[in-house]
Amino acid sequence: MILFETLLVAIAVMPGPAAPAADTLLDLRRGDRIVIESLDGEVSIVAWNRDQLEVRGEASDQEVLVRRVGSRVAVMHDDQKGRRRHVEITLRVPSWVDVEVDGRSLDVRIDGVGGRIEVGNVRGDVWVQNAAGAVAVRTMSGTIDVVGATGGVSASSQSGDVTLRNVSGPLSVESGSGDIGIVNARSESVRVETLNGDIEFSGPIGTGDYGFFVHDGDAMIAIPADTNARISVSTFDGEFHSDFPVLIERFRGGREFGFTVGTGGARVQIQVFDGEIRLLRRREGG
Amino acid sequence: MSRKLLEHHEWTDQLSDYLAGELTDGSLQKLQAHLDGCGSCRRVLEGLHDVVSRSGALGNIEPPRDLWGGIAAVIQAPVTVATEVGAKVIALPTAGRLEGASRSALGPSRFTLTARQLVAASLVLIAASATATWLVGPGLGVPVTGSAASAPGFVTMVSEVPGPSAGLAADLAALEASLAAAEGVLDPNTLRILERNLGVIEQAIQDSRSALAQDPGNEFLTDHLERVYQRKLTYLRDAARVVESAG
Repeated sequence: MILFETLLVAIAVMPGPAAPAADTLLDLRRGDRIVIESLDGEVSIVAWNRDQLEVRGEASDQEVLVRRVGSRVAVMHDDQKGRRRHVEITLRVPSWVDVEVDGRSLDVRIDGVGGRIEVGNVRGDVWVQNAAGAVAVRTMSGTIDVVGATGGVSASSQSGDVTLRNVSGPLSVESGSGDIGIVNARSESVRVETLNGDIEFSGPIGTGDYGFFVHDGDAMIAIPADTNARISVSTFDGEFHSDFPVLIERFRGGREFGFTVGTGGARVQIQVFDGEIRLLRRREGG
Repeated sequence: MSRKLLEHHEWTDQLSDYLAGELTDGSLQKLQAHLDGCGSCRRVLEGLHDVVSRSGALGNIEPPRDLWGGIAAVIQAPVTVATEVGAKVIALPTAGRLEGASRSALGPSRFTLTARQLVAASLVLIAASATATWLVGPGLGVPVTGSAASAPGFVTMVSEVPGPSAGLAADLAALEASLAAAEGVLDPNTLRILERNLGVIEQAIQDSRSALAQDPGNEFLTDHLERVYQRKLTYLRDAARVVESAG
């Protein structure tokens, strides 16, 4: 039997410092998913220790709605003509909940959420901290910052910088014309790609696959001195700098070669069309 | 490996003639006896045989006279880094330099290499397939695009640069068309962002195609161009979603 439940809650969102009105609280159940849609402006989503959703903030003119359909709980502006509304709101959510944000011009801040996080945006910055579930962020124009994520990160910004710090799990990061910085990453699967920008990666190398691809920019890869990896390097017009001893073992072309650091194990691929490749020994804690 | 090979130059110097069937019976027997007991020289022979086999696919195309000059330029970096080093900077030659070094003069079609050149040629085959392709690859024999007409005895170094696969091209065309049709739907700021981002991708495609035109057959460049095309496809799909949500 399928239960189909519809609940529409109209919230006249309150100014920040004021106590939330009673109808800004909605009980949530395990398996519920929070969806932010048709809103522009700024949204902060912060986990708390209650199994409830709270919405506070300011809307430009009309009400923000919370609509439940089954397990989907949408925070939205219900405009018959599909117009979006500028808001500055803060949501407090259970740490276990999944969060999905569909924005057009929206700055998003998410802190402490343990469920899956999915953000799609056209322009606006996205900042995620202390995420325990998988994080997926796509934006056309805006920066992406993820600090402290343990469930893996997929991040793509067409024209903004992407920075990941203290992250683990599978990492897939893309930028069209921005820099990508990944600091203190612990992952067995890393794929990083930018067209016009630099890549900086710092973290231990396990036994998995690590790929770094740049069209026009530099790649600086800092790995521990005791790394065991087979490293392949390719460039069309660039230089290669290495802190590690290089004994070339494999050639694919005049500007493609491979060598082994330590006893091998991981597979590291670094490809730069036009730019420098720097393979550095990572300092402790770096 | 190189030192050991060079100690056997007395034998490896004869390998070109051996492959061409031009050794006298006495020399042939002595060389065969040496090859039976010398793995190093056999490997050099295999390398030269590979060179000759691949060059055979070119028909009457004549290699440039300064073949060795081009090879030496190419292997300069590999030789430098073929020993254990630390904290080294390796400046890798560009396709443009290779092209310039190899196009300066053209010579006889006879394919003869000395022992030192054989070693180099083997290295080049292993270490610089892009250059080997430039020298002997299939792209050489296909003058397609509009370069100057060749004088007799000259080789026209042009080849086609691959575009996206048919399926990918169709997907790209469809998405580009839908994006173009959405100009009236999107707000100017969003449209400007989409166009600017697409411009970055198009520039990368142009860069990659130009590079491939210089260095046809380069596997890295081929893979790189394919990756940029895929990137464009992903981007256009994202853009289509933006259009859809705006509509």
